[in-house]
Amino acid sequence: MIQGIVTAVPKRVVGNGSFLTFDANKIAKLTGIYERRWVDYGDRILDIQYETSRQVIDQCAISPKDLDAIIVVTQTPSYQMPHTSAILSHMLGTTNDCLCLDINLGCSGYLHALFYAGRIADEDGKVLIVAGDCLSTTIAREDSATAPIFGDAISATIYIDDESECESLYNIKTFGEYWRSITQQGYGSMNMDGGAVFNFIQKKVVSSIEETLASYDLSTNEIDYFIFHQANKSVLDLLEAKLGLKASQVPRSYHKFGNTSSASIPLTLCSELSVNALSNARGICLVGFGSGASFGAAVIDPRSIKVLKLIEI
Amino acid sequence: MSLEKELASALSIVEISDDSSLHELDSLGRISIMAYLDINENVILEADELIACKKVMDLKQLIEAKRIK
Repeated sequence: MIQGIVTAVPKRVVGNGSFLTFDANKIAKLTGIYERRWVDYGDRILDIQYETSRQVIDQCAISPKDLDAIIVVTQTPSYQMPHTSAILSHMLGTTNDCLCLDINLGCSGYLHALFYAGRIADEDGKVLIVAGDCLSTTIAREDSATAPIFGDAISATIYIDDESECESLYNIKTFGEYWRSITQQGYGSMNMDGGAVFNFIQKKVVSSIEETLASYDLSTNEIDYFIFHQANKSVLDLLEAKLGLKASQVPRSYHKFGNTSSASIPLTLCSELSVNALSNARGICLVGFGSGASFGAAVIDPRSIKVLKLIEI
Repeated sequence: MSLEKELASALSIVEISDDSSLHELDSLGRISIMAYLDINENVILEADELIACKKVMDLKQLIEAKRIK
């Protein structure tokens, strides 16, 4: 179960008017995104990952020595080698028995990390999940398919294994035939075929969400909030319509932060919902999808969440 | 709503007129049309098919063909 989440966004606000080669109103109209946060030149992603981790550990009142594992989800690590989780284990001061694992995933990564955390943690064990990217460092500023879309954010989550709690329900999938839709070769810029990504969402993501609910005999009415990966307005409009959801069931944060990769689900929880709101919720469904045509969905009991905090770094 | 009206609504979102070339559309524009037609017409356009449409008439014929299926 999730005990707490802290999500960090850079202080630098980049509005649609900042793009010299795109029409600001058109970006807002087509994507629903009005602004995003980007790191400054010279900012180190590792420092944001560390500070966000430190804050969630403090807020959840645990010690780094209590951690069974650190799972880092990122495609923009400060160091290609070694794995970021090993560096964070040293910076935070975990024991040498803390398992350190990096996952190379984008927008579905938070769900995959939660899934792994549940299988790694011993009884009453604690896992730190650090998910997010600074994709502004990998996009070409003149590329209309990526530059106006992506924002930077890093989330840190404390996951606790608690046998007494209801089991979270997961559905993890990969549709490898669509892998070419989002790529980055070597140190080049990210390349996204938006139409192919959208076809993947239309043909695979909608049905996989329906499959998730059906396999656990749940209806959409039994889920208070669907926290979708915040791809853009077109994608969330499609998911809301196809699943027959009410607008109040679909919190949205992309208008303020853009598409923030694997941080977008925890960011939406921190920015659009409160611990109090979740304490009255029966169930929430988290849904991530993205690069590698990967998909993850989970139905969780949100009442375990005691910390939701959004910070600027 | 008739296909003509639905298509006009879809194109108005991306500010494309009936006699314009669809090659003016960028990735975001194409996705907006794909989303609109799926939500309102239950038609899934393949990204490659949409890119291959040169004129609005080509798109109209494509949608009609998919509706018949």
